[in-house]
Order: sequence, then structure tokens, then C-alpha cells
Amino acid sequence: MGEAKRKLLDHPLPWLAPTLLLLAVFQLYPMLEAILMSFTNETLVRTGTQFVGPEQYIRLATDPEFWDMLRVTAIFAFSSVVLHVLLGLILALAIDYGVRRGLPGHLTTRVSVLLAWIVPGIIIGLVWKVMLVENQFGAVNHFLGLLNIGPVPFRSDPTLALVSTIIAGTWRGTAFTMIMIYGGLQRVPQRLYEAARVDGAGRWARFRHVTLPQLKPVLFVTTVLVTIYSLNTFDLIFALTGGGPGRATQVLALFMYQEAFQDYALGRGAAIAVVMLVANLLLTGVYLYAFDVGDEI
Amino acid sequence: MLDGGIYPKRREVLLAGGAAIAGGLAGCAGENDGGQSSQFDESDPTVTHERFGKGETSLTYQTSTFYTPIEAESDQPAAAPALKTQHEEWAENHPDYRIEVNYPAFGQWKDNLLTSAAEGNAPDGSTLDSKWVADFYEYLQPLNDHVEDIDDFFPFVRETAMRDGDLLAAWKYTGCRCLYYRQDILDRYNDGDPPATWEELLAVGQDIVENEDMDAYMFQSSSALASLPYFWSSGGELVDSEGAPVLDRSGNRQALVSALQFVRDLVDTGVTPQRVASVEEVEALPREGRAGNLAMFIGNNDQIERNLKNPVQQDDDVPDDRWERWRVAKIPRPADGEHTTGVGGWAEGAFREGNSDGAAAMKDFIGKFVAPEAMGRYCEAAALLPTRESVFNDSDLYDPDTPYQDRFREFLRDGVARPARPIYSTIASEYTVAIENVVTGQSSPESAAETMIANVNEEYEAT
Repeated sequence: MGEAKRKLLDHPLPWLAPTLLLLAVFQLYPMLEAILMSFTNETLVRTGTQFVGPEQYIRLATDPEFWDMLRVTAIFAFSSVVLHVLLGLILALAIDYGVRRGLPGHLTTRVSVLLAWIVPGIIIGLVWKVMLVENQFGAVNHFLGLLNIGPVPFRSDPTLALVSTIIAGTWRGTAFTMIMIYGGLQRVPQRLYEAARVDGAGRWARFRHVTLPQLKPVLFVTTVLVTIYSLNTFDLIFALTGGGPGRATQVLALFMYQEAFQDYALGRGAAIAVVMLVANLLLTGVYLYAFDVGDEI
Repeated sequence: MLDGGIYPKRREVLLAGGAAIAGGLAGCAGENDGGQSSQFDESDPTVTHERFGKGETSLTYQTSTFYTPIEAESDQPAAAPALKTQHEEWAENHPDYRIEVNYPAFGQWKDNLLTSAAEGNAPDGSTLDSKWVADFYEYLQPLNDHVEDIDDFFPFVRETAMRDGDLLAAWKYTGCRCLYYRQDILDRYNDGDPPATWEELLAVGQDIVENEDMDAYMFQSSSALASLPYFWSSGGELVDSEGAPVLDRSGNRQALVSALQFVRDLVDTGVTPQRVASVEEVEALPREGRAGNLAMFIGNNDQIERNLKNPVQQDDDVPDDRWERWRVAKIPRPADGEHTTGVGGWAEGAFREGNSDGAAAMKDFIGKFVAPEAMGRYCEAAALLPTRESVFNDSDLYDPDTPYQDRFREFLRDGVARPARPIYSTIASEYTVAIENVVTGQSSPESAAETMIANVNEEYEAT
């Protein structure tokens, strides 16, 4: 093998080139297109697109309803992240406990939880919508009715509608965090637990000083991914509440869809998409700082 | 193959699977190729689910499985023979052409059609919801030379489907909203008369709620067309002749506030439950009615047949006439207002540009949907309402045995179509948001009206 060829093969570029090319074509280029589109008034129902500068962004910033949607998005995303990670951690610990002690049923539990994750969000939204119908035709209200409770306005009360979307999203997404954290738990060396026991550490102390620090890189990645998933959640809310009642559950992703694909205002839809991209990047930066895992991932 | 055991190796299984998938795909491709060639003979039917006609030259067309001419494939089998006859007539008159039919998924149909029209790749023809027509004005081709007696259409059809004298869409049937009510309930609480005004509705509704274990009155809050009659019958107008929104004009603003205040009154008095804000499906209300939970609701004209008469008869071992408890009436209006009803329906449009024979063949195909005989035949079979006044009035063309047709014809005279302007989609979505905000107490009627007006005007100015 010639020297030049060896040097080339030793260089990372040839190995990274296919991935970089794919990223450039399928990720960067569409993103740049979206950014450029956000500075235009492009729409599907009229020909002749014009460059309008930051007008779309100014319009968003001066629209009080946009800030309401941002608030709803923040509540939805924050609650979702907390519940996803917390419940995923509890489930992962429970399954790990079962596996280590050879208890039966841990595989069935994992498969059951994962089933919810496999089903598309739009289907999950429809299933929950049917379950939460606000009369005796809805499964949940039917059973509550047997207890002389309700009917509970799960979808027509603004607050309960938002809670319903958070619960449905958590029901679906917890499987993902569970599997990520469970994977992380398998990487924790047993000798650390044994050393902690020798030092007299109880269960909580072992969890606090061994498990959690060891899970930090996984928790970081999981939190980032769940945040992105939550901020971009659209299909489930679209099917479950359609953003209503009124705009009580209108998150930014749904707003973007409605602007771009119902009103066909592609420029404005692109501007909302760019705002969401910036929010995702900012939050990732915050997590990177808060988790302090720069060297570990 | 089994190399030392009865189980195939994993690689062999994968190879076999890959070969099966490749073979399947090749088979699919082959089928498509076959569909493009002109090998039809006498034994081939003239009209199939995917193809109308047997000519050499193909045209493309999109529609819904509601409108397939093949009974076994149809979501509306009773109407399929009428469409089959219509398409066979077209095929006979255009032996050189055949239409390749595509049935897109409903959810993305409009988006994909609009995108392909903007790219210049629209099919030669397509079925369109009447409320989509305005968004396609730029791409639809005039049908004037292929549709007879345009003045015969109801005025709301001409207002929506025509631009600068060009008929751009063949509106093939319509439907209207009306008040469905339980006659036996109103016999007890209002001497058998349906409420004609808002005041009567609120009064009789409260009596029903207090004395019966049911809700009195509901409407589909997610559908602007179901509740826009409240606004129209208060004297409101949505847009001017140029298509600009005029909600901020004094009379219209007042009409909007009145309509929203009426909705608030319905909820405050308990006549309508707050959960009306979660009613999205058009079938939800007749379902509640059949279950004995609801005394009155706003529904579509075809629901008497589709959601009340047929399900009741199918549910029973011995068919009975309980569905006849349901009667129809005009949508209640303000005491000093006029009755109105929202009208909808579906249309057909041609996208193929130019004066070629192919374009003419497609326009002929589209035009046949609104030829009086074809329209009467189809509407009669499907229990839908014709858009031509002459068809409605000619019992030789249209004489359905579905209930209450005379009432619907009467209601249709007060029909108001959605404005055929692109801004309407924003008006409709803002109106439903305003209704839901008022129903759920998130906004007062005045505040909801102001927000709606501001959003609609801002959207109009931005586009």
C-alpha cells in the first residue's frame, strides 16, 4: 500500500465522508432551505414569492397568541421531560431489580411497555381520544361513572385537556426512557456496588452515590432526546385534542403544521420551525452545562 | 440447502426473504406496466375501480372511494350504479381515452393535490371538497363549454364555483345543516313545535334539562359551518365582494358578538353542556341521540338516512320506526333575524390546461357529473341534494324516497355557502377557536370576537 494511500486511510475524513454527505443532503440542506424560506412570504395558494426579511419573526414576536402557545409548549415539554425520565428511571430500576434476582415476568413487562412506543403517535392520540370521550361511550368515563364520578371533561376543560395530552404522551414515551436507562444500568460495574456495601452504604446511598453518577451520561442523552421529542410532539396532540379547546393545547409544532399545511403559509411555518430549532439547540446547551458531561459522551 | 440440519441457515432465510420481496416488487411493477398498455379486448369491462374507458390515451383522475362506480369497492354502494352508468356513457363517447383513477388517502389529499398543482403536476382531473375550490382557482380550468345551462345552478354554487364568468368547478351535490329534534320530547315541552328562535331554544332547552335525563341541545363545535348560521342569521357577513374580511364593520362585529353570546347563554343555562367543545365527529351527535342522551342537535341533511334511520333499523332484530321520532327543522335564529343554513358538498375540477382533445375529454368527463340526468340519478341514489334547481324540481330526474326531502329543499333556499375566498380557511378556524374559547369560559364573547377579528385581518394583510 502506498504511503499516500496509507495517509489517506489514516485520516478520519474518508471514513466520515459518507455520513457527512448524507447529513449535508438530508439534514443540513433542508434546514438551510427552511431558514431561507422563513425570510419569505411563500404560500401554496399564490404564485410569486417575495423576500420579506425578518417580517415573519416580527409577526410571531408581536402576536400575543404565539406567547400563549410558547407557554403551553413549555408546560407540555417540561412536564413530559420530568415524567418521562422519572417514570423511565423507576421502571428501569424495577426491571433491573427483577432481572438480577431472576424474577419472572421482566421480559413481558419490557415488551408490554415497549408496545406503546412502537405504536405511532397519531394512533395513540386516537386511542386516548376514544377512551376519554366525555360520556358513557368513553371507557374512562364509563368506569368513573360506575363509581358515581363524572363525567370528567378530559378534553373540553382547558386544563384537563393539557393534562390529558401530557399523560398520553408520557404513557407512550416512557418506554423509550426506560430502555435507555435500563441500558445504562447494565453498564454500571458491580464492583462499585460491592465497594459501597463494604463502606456501609444503604440502598438510597448506593443509588445516590453510585447509580445516579454512573447514569449521568445516559440521563443527559435521554433528557436531550425526550426534550426534542416533547417540543416536536405534534401527531399525538393533533389526534387527541387538535390543539383545543380553543388553543388550550396548541403547542408550537401543531401551530407550525396548521400554518404550513392548513393555511399553506410556508414562510410563516418555516419561521416557527426555525424558532423551534433554536429552542432545541438552546435547551441542549443548557443541559450540557447542567449535566457537566462534556468529557463523558 | 439444509446443510447438515432441518433448519435453514439464517443467511439462507434472509436471502429467500430478500428474493421474495424483490419478486413481489417486480410483480407490482409488472402489474403497473400492464395497466399502461392498450391490450383491452371485448371481455374487459368498460369501467373498473381503477379505470374508466378502454382507450389508447390515458388521463389521470383522483377521487374518493365514496365515488367509485364499483359497488364492492364503494363506501357508498347505493350510488355506485349511477356513477357506473355515467362513466360508461363518457367512455362510449370518448373511445380513444381511458381514465386511470387514483384514490388518495383523505387526510393528505388536499395538501398533496395543492402541492402537485403548484408544481404543475396535478392530475388531469380531481374531485374537490366545495370548500377547497377557492384554494385551487389558480389551477382549475374553465368548464363553460362542457357544462350546460350554468344559470340553472343555485346562486351559492355560482358564487363559489365561478370566477370572471368562468365555471371552474362542477359542484355535483350539496347538503345543508338543520335542527334535528325528538318529536316526542318536544310534544311534552313545547306543544310539539321545534324552537324557531334562540329565546325559544333556551326556554325549551332548560325545561328539557330540568325534567329529562338528557342534554337538550348540541352542535359540532369543531365545524364552522355548523355554527356559522348563528352569525349569518344575526345579519353578519364574512367578506366583501373583493374577498376582504369585513368582520370589523359595526354590524358584522355586533353579529359576531351576538352569535358568541348565544353560545355562551346555551352553556350558562345548561341547555348545552361544556363538553360540546370536544365534539369533533359529525356522527357523534346522532349517536348520542340514538342512545337517548340528546333531544336536539345541529346535523347534516343526510344524517337522517345515514346516522338515524339505517343504524336504528340495523340494530334491531325486528326493524321498527323509532327513527321517525327524529324530525328536522330550520336552525333557530335570533328573534329579529332571518333563517340561514350552511351548505356544503363536493365538486369536480379539471386541471389539464390547453385546448387539446385530451383536455376536452377530461372536461367532458367532469361536466357529466353536473348534467341534469346524471346529477339527478346520483343524488337520488345517494340521498344527497342536487345543486341544479331544475333537477330538484323535476320528479322525473330526482325523486328520492329518503325522508324530509321537501323540508331540505325549503331549507336550501336560505343556504349560504362558505365564501369562496382563500381567507375563509382562516375565518373558519378562528371562528371555531372563538366558539370553543367562549364555551369553555376562556374568553368572553366580546374578547373572543375581538381576537378573531384581529387574527383574521392580520392574516389577510400578511397574504
